[in-house]
Amino acid sequence: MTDSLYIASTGMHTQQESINVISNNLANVNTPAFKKSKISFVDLVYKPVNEQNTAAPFLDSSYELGSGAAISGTSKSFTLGEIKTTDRALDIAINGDGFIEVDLLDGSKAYTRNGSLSINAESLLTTNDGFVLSPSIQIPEDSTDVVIGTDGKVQVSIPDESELIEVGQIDLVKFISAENLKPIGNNLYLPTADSGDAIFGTPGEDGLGIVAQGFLESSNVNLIEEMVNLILAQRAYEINSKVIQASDEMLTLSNNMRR
Amino acid sequence: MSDGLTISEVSMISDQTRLTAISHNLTNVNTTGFKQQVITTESFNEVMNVAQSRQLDNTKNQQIMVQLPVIDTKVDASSGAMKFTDDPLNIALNEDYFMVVKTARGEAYTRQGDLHMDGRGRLTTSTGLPIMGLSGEVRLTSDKPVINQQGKIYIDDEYITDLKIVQFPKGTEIIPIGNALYQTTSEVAIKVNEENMMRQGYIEASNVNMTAEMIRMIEVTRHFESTQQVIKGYDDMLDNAINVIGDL
Repeated sequence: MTDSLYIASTGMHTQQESINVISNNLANVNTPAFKKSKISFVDLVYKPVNEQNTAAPFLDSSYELGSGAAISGTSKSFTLGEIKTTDRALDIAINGDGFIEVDLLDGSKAYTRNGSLSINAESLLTTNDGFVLSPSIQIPEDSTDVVIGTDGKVQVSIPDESELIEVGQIDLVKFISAENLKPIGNNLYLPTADSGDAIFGTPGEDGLGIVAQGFLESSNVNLIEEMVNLILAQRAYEINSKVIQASDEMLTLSNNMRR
Repeated sequence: MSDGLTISEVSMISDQTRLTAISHNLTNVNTTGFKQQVITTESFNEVMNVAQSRQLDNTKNQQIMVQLPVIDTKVDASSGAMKFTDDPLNIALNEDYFMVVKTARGEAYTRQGDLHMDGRGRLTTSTGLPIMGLSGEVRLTSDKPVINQQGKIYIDDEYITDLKIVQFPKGTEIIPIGNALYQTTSEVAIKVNEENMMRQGYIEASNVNMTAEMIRMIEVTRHFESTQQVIKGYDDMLDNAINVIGDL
């Protein structure tokens, strides 16, 4: 009897975690280049039950009883979000699998797909959270316009010059298995043993995708999908709580057998 | 008299076992590729036949036999709903096909199609166990392969391997071992080049039916309740036998 109580609680726990993942996805429905998380479940081990039938030994039976559900892991889904136009010169969208490399404050590298860039006090190109792009690209202070080509080439126009001046190149990197990257917040990801090391390349080649200036990649969270998952998770939570109630009721009944 | 109590007790314990199975099914109502457990008990006729044959065997024994129904669990292998995910590493298998997974204790079978690719390029289950192809583990160079309905994997139009897909013979007992894996005692048949074995970009939802389980749960709790009343009835009778009849 207590088995069903514990089993139902594993169900409530997994559904609770599922709702946590859904709520994080929904909270980031408007975060540029956010990638939705998925949670997967597995059934727990099966307990062999050997019933010894003392009244009729030839009716001995053995069977397996399950013991609930567990989370097997969460992973990010790197499908492309919708590309929307912003007409801002420092917004870039990556129309493929590529990531932009940035320097973290401790000097290590992280990777992002959020192409909403800005220029910091030292005239360096940064993400909108202030992480400097790697290799760093200096935008001259007197430049009036920034042009980023589909191949990632960054050019500026300067008042006295008739032609555009090249100031740097935005390289893209990709990973063998992007879904195994470790998200660290701020739209940044770190490579792990399972994702493989960063593979450098030029935009437009090897499926990295081209760099599109004046566009931003939206979050790839699909509201309808999340709502359906939310309903499923909530109902599953609810029915597991009913199992706990039923077990409780049955325990009460067996306790009340003796008056 | 105490036979009645024993029968009621067994009946209540069997209700508890049923509730355990129901709760296991309900916890896995959102587990991809999960197959529900069904509890079966022997029918009255079967139990009766066994009891009669046993009484013929030892005719000297005049005592009425108490026959307790045998509980067994079976895996209901029917398909769950197909859920569209658009993820290239998600596979929903048709009807009774299974994928082959390498575990520490040999091969096991699964229908949980939310696959992943690890750092070594291996195709794995959500728990990290490698999925088998026709020639060993499946190694990918991209996490966006094309997998056709015959289980053939292509990357950039280049053939990589076939997924190893098996089918259990009809009527085989499917033994669940947890982590969405199954085993069987009989020989499985490897299926190659068959049409319509799977669909990429979909996963198979759990085949647990919440309404049906809820109804079973009501049945179980009510049956438990009525059996408890039977025990109370016996208790009353015993009470009378001891205290009223003896009260001269």
